Amino acid sequence: MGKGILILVVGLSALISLLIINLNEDTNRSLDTTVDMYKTTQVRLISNSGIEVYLEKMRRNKTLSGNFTDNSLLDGQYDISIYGPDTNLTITSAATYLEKEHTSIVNAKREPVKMPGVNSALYISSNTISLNLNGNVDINGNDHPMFGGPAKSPLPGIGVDDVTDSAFIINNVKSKITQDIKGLGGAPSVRTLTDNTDWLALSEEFIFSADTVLTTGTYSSGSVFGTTDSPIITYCNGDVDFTDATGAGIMVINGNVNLSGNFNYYGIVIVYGQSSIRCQTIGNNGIYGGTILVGESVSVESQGNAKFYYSWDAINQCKVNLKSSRFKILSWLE
Amino acid sequence: MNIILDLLGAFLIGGIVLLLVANLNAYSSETQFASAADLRLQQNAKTLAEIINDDLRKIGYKYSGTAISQADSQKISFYGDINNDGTMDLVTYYLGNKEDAPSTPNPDDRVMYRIVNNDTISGPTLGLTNLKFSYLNTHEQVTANPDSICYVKAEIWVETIQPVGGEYPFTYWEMTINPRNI
Repeated sequence: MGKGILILVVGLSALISLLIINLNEDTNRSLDTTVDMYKTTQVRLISNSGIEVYLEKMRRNKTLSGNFTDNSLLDGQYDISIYGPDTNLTITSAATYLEKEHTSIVNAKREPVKMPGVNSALYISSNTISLNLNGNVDINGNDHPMFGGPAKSPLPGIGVDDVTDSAFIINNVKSKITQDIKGLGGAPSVRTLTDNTDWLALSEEFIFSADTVLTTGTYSSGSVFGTTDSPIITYCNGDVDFTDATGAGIMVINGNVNLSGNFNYYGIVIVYGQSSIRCQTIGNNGIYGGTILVGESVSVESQGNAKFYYSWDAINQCKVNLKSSRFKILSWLE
Repeated sequence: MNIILDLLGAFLIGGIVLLLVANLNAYSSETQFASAADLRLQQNAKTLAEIINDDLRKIGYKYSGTAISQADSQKISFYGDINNDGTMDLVTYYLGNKEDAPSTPNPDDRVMYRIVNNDTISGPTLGLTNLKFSYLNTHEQVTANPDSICYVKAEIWVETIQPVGGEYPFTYWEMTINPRNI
């Protein structure tokens, strides 16, 4: 009797164990199905995120290309390959997560820089203008082709927002200097212009794409902020002094600026501030392209041989060679 | 007399134990069958979701025009180089009729047709009983205009192919896909 019960209990236990093992196996396989879906999704996300990460890096490093392997993200890894010209970039991301693999391929092009419309050699937009021009300041709205480009129609030497401002400039600048404000309509070429540009928004767009960011300080001989063949976007966040420096491209200055020595710049200089800005030049400085001063109150002081020349050619040279930080995605395979 | 009573008692207890074992065995088989059916249901739903997900993410890949040519609740046609071979593909998904799947015990399951450049791939039903597409614009509002579609929402209803306890358990899978090329 005792043996019979023992056999029965052992048999029942075996049956129940078998049932539990089978159910556990199904549960595990069910879990595997869910986990597999999770892995598939995760590896796709890692692959796509890898491309996003490198697009951000390409925004900051405008010459970034090649292979970048073994990047870690979300417990997975991805390899990036970037090749092709700016007009047709191919970015490939091959990701692995546990045993899963996924490849995303993106075709993109770097969008050109949207250059601001220059309406005068020196455009001042402000409620309060203060001018103290001395020496041989030369403000010239006649086009200055500098790189073999065609000559364009002249622009005003100085452009302002309203008649009061233009009258103020003509009445408060020394008569000798008024003859040095050349351009559209002859000297003194000071004109009222209608300008609807949102300079703050535009400046922020350039700041987003800035190649170089400068803080308050003095930047002297040897400082190069781009060349005409390889112009850059420079953002100065604070008051800056340039002494004998050179540059080309677009320079956005959020603060006051002092130019001294032989500072030469080809392209567009935008000086803007929420309140007051001061633009001071001493020495043989030259800005060839266009200069824009925007602020609640703008003060321009000049000594020496400062030149503010309009040059379509210089602006165009920058436009052709500048790289923005904006990409247009042409296709995305995931 | 005592021996007879002992024998009767032993038969009674033995019979009860045998019934219990038989019941347990039946329960075990039933539970295993239901568990396996649930597992297959889940796997089938996942397979269908992966197929749809993989294709819909390629809508408009390397296609410059309006990528979605037909956007109905049970049918979608779109252009895209889905195998990245440089040749544009026209892909159509639609849900077949119940009569298209006569060989399965489930009377409601249907075949999901996937046509790539006139090449129809249907495969097994995988228990699919319903498929619904809806289309959302950039503000995630329902739209019928192919030009303004930014998201494709796909819903699938999947049942077990075999009945479990006389019924067909079902699962529902919903995914909203944002094809990057439209």
